[in-house]
Amino acid sequence: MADKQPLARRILLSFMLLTALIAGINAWAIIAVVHVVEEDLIGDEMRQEMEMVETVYLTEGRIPDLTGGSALYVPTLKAQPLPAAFAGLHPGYQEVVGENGAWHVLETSIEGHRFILARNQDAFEAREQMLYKVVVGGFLLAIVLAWLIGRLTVRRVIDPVIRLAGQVRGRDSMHELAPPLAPEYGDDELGQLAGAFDQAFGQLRRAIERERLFTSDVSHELRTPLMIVGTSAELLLRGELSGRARRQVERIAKAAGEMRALVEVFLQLARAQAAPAAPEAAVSLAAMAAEQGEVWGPEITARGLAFVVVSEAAMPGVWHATLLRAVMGNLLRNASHYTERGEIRLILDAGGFRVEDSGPGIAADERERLFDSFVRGSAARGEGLGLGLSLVRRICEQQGWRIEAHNLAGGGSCFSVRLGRF
Amino acid sequence: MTPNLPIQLEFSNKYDSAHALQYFHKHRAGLARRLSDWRDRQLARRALQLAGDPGLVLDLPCGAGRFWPLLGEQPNRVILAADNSPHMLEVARREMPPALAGRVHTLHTSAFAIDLEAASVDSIFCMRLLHHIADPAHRLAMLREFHRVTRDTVIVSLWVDGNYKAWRRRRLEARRAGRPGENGNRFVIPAATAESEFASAGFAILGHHDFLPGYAMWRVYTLRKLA
Ligand SMILES: C[S@@+](CC[C@H](N)C(=O)[O-])C[C@H]1O[C@@H](n2cnc3c(N)ncnc32)[C@H](O)[C@@H]1O
Repeated sequence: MADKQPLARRILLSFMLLTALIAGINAWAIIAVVHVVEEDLIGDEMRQEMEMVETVYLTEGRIPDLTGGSALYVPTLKAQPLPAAFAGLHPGYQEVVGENGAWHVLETSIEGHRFILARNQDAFEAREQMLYKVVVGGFLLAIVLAWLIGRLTVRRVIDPVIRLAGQVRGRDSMHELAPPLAPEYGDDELGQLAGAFDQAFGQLRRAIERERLFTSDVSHELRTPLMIVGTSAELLLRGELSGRARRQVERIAKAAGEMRALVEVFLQLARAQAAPAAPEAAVSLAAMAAEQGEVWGPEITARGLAFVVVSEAAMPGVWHATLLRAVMGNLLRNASHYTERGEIRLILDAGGFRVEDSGPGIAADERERLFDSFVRGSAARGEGLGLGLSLVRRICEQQGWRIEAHNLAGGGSCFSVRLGRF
Repeated sequence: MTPNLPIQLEFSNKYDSAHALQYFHKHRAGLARRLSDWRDRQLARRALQLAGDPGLVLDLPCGAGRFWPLLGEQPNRVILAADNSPHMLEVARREMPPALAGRVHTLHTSAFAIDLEAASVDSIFCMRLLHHIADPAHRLAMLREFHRVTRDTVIVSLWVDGNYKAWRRRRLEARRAGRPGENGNRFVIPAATAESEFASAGFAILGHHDFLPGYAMWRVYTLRKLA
């Protein structure tokens, strides 16, 4: 989870680093101050003790016994070994480290005698240890708190961003009734971002709608003139025509027929929603295969290729005739364009149909963009192929069919269409 | 769109006019029913929260619109309400609280071939339908259709095993083996089976909530569509 949210992790990390820095400086300052103050205090205390010793010595002529952990050395008056560490003392307060611990030492000269007051630091050290523990504990506590507050902040700040990202993903396909995103967020930066998304999606939707209407209008406008071209050609064919003219008019009639079919496909695609086919416009897979076999069989064999229709299994059900014709026809046209020798197979199976050829196959880097508009294989030739596959893809998307292309093991390519939703 | 082989279920046909009105009143009568309705809504609320408070929800089947007020609790939400039975839809529309008018849009469609394009809603909210479907193939077909139509999440309620009621039900059924029971159109789906079906339809489980853990059979799953 954390790996997928580097921003959240960074916020958390900077929270903790900042806290560690501040708490660290604080801890260091506390320890330093306590150290200095404590040293001052001990120095004062020892000086007072020494004054008391001096008073007693001057007034009573004796060296007093000390209570409270201090030791008094007067080498010239008391027979008592002086610790080795005290050899290099100088008058005044100092800290000395010897073999048995650290000492606070105060040396004064009273009437020519060296008075040395020493106090072991052990007791003080124990207190200092305690202090260190408290300071380190506080430091750790601060970091834990920083982590908690950081988590909270991340949740408050990042979670809505993640949610918004989730809502935006794939939103272009959503139903037009989908409510805007902005009202779900506050009047803050995130709300503005959500509003910007709303606006962008609105524009996108309107642009697509305009394009759809345009396609639909153009197709409508083309219908009538194409109809006129088609029927006029048919009328001409019924009359007396020379052999050459007849062939030309036949070509015109065929081209007009193809254009009309294409316009019907455009009109279907321009519908806002995939409308169910009217019963008279619905066709079974086998019937469409037979029809397309008759259309494409002669053309393919005329090019010196073999054409076979194989029925592996019978798929029940009926589909939109215009659209199924466009998909199957375009795939067969595509196969025949790219195949030099060998054969083209139209195979019906339990889930749809496949068109296989013995052509050069599809280059790996082209497979992704194969169905994009106006992208042709690099071995492209002939005309009208650019639109073909993108049209096929659009039809499949609208109808919930699935198309995929792969290369066959023995060479050649296979375009497979799964009818029905899955 | 031409749904080949439309899946038709026997029980779907029982929701005629009289039954629809009866269904509307069913969840409003008696303390036990009200309590259970309250708990249903609580589970649904939690499931919706788990699903990230979706904005456009497809309530399928909406039945008599029992969950509309709950779905409408989020002020920005738009509800697409669909059912197989036109009578149910009619009763639901008639009894709809006026406050929700304009935010609920009804749609007459089957759950096996939803009349919507791919990824067109944020979430599909499917209460009390899955437990009517005995055939795993039918369940899978419906889940796949849900996978197509939702953009993000699916919320389904069903009867699972691993609780007292399911155990007792199995014992009762064993005793009167062969004879169809009074609840012949409702089925327990073992939790493990359901979860593997969700997975094979392309969903990850975000979490689930039980009506009464260990006792009741109702469980609400929140699923997220995997790409
Ligand atoms: C038990 S009710 C549940 C209604 C609502 N979700 C609730 O919990 O109150 C079942 C509903 O499923 C509907 N239904 C039955 N078969 C269906 C199908 N194939 N597609 C869609 N809805 C269906 C019925 O019309 C009925 O309204």
